[in-house]
Amino acid sequence: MNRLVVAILLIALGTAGGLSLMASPAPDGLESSLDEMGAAADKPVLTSPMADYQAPFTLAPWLRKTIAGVSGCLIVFGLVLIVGMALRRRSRLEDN
Amino acid sequence: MHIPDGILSPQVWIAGDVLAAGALAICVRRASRRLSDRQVPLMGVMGAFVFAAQMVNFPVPGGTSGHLLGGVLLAALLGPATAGVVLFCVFLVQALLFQDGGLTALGLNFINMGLVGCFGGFYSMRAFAGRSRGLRRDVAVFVACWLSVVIGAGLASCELWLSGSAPLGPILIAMGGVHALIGIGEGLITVATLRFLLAARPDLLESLP
Repeated sequence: MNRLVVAILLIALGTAGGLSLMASPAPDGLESSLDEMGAAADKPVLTSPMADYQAPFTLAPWLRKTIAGVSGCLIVFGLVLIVGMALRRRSRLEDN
Repeated sequence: MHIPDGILSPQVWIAGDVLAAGALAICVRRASRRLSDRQVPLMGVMGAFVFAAQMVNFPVPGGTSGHLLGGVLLAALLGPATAGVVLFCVFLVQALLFQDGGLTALGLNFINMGLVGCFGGFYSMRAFAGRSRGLRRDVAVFVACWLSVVIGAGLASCELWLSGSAPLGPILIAMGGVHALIGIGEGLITVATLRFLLAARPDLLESLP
């Protein structure tokens, strides 16, 4: 099990940091549909530090995306792990 | 399909956030009842995997693109409630750190792209295939994925219409058309990923309700 978990994490990091560089730059289905309708979104309510998956450093765009992808992956991993452990603790409390 | 800020009317996004908060609370309660120790690390890495996969837009004929949503994939491995909790974490990080999906639209994005796949997808998969394996399960997973993407797109269309941002018929046709194609990608990626994981660990699904 542990080997599979490590393998999935490595695949995720490779996907976010490497494969993502080959992502299609075309607008997604929602963006293109909204364009067709002539609808446009107002300003976002907050400015994200890594908007559009670009890390805030003066580096080549691909490297900024790789850094954003890898850090996002690790942040999601950490957050879900913490949430998962909290849920597990709750389920143990309910067992007793 | 991430809805940004400033395109939904306040009534619509506030109602969506309230609904989503209630649904998330139900997910948390259900998930905490049946989570096992070995599922916790799997939750973490699958959350990271779905986040990563959502960065990789694949091209769709017609000059647009789409990416995996991952609800059916997570629900097939972790059960629908735990999958919902994981996907919420993914959408939260995307909205806060990457401006992918508006913070005000977080609730409706969670419903359209998360809960529809986690619950609708999971139960339609079970209805088609039960616990059978092989081709029957693959077909059921594929159909569940396709349906969840198209239904999620339909919901998003209705939310935009209710907000006065688009006329109902045209937005349904535009969104439905693109997402009928994106849904094929969702199905193929999910079937391939599940096959890979279950080949490595055939017992992965056994703890599911």
